[in-house]
Amino acid sequence: MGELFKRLAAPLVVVFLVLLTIVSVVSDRRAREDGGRDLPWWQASLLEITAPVERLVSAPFDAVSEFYDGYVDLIGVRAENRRLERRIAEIEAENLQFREALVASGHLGRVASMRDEVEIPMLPAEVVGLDVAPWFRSVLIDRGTQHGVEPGHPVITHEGVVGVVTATSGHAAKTMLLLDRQSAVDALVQRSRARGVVRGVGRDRLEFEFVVRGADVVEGDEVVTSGLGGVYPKGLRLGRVVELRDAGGRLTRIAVIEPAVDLGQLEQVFVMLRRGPQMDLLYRPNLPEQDLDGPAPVSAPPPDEVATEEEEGAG
Amino acid sequence: MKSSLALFALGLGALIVQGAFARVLPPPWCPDLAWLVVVGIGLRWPSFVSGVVLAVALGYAMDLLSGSLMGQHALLRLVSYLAAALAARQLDLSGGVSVGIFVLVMTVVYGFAMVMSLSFFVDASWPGIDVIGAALAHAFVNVLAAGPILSLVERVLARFTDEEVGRRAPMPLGFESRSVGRGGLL
Repeated sequence: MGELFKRLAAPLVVVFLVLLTIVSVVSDRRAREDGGRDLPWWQASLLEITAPVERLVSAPFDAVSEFYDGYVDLIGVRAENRRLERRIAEIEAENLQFREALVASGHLGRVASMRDEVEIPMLPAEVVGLDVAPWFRSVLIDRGTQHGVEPGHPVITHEGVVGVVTATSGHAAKTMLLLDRQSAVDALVQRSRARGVVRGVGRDRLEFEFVVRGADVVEGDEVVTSGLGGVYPKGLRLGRVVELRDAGGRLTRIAVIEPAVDLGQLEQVFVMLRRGPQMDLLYRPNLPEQDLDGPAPVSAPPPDEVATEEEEGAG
Repeated sequence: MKSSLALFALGLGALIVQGAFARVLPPPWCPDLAWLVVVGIGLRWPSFVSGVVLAVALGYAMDLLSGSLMGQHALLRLVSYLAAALAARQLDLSGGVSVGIFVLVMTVVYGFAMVMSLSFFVDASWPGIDVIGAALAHAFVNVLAAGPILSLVERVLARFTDEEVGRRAPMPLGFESRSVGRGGLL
């Protein structure tokens, strides 16, 4: 009996572990469908330990990379500077004309109050780790549940959408980038309002699959979020159409999109501290209607202020 | 127990170094050092059950620092470990060339399995031609990194275990072993 148990122990362990991993994958998939999850304590602890260590180990690599990038950036910087100065002058002139027009029509005050209403609190965060597997595109940021970050929160930069928070621990959060194969965002072409889904394909470009085959889209069109997916607010920049092609065997067309954000060079990002209305309904179905509006709008606090507020709260 | 902890620490260390490499190398050109540790354990460590558990634990650690579904890397690392352990018993993998070929083939299979499992569990695109290119590039850097990593695994085993490095315990369920000697399952 003892001999039989010894011989069966190894296969039983293997079968148990295979089942365990499959159950983990399926449950994680379900959790992501529901907008992500807070990590269990043992995973959160491991993430809390590895995030700062990874940051420390990465520091020399970052320094070398920064030095090289700095050198490369210097090449042609004068010509670029002149071009940008001209562009700023043009934009300033345009801006002045718009302001004049708004003041003349008395709309400026209304535009300002509308901006206050729709403003979403944003938390600055730093990217401390990149995905360690070549088959996925995600980053680790240095803000977690302690700073108000929750799964399902959109992550952006001033250039456009970066991705969405999928898992959180106390002081870190895993963010799935737009480029990841699991990423899909409901989007529209800014010019023609043609709708479709922008998907990550694991490369440096995105694919925009249109709902209608004859959608009006040309190279150079800007693509923005439609606000219908339930995660991202409407109007955030996703990227620019660089190529159009037929989807083999399907009735739709596909546009290849260059992301608005250089997702390979991420350093600073902003977490939008509010989920889309559909996500709120999923998460807080029993709350009264006025609570679904999310936190009161505030401007983005700098990291130091956030830390101070926490200390005061703890005290 | 000491050797298990030492190998786990080595695997975590490899994961962190891999994360640092990922900051300067584009995705397919960054070697999967933690996976190579698992393969090294499969090829060189005689303790079968501990090896399986270690492979899964390191897989979960990888899942935590990657965008994969939790358990996806763990499952494929378990399969990688089993393949390596089986190959070590059935084939002569003592030479550098044979290990290199094994790592090359396994990396390509691993890449395809990962993308296909993603397509199975999530509504993601099926692997295309681009995956072949990425898998081959990744396999190339993994082969280059295999030598140092396997050497590290052997050193850790030599330091923390009395058993001869590379000697394998018999696989359960009647698999024939090419190597000599018998060891315990645990």
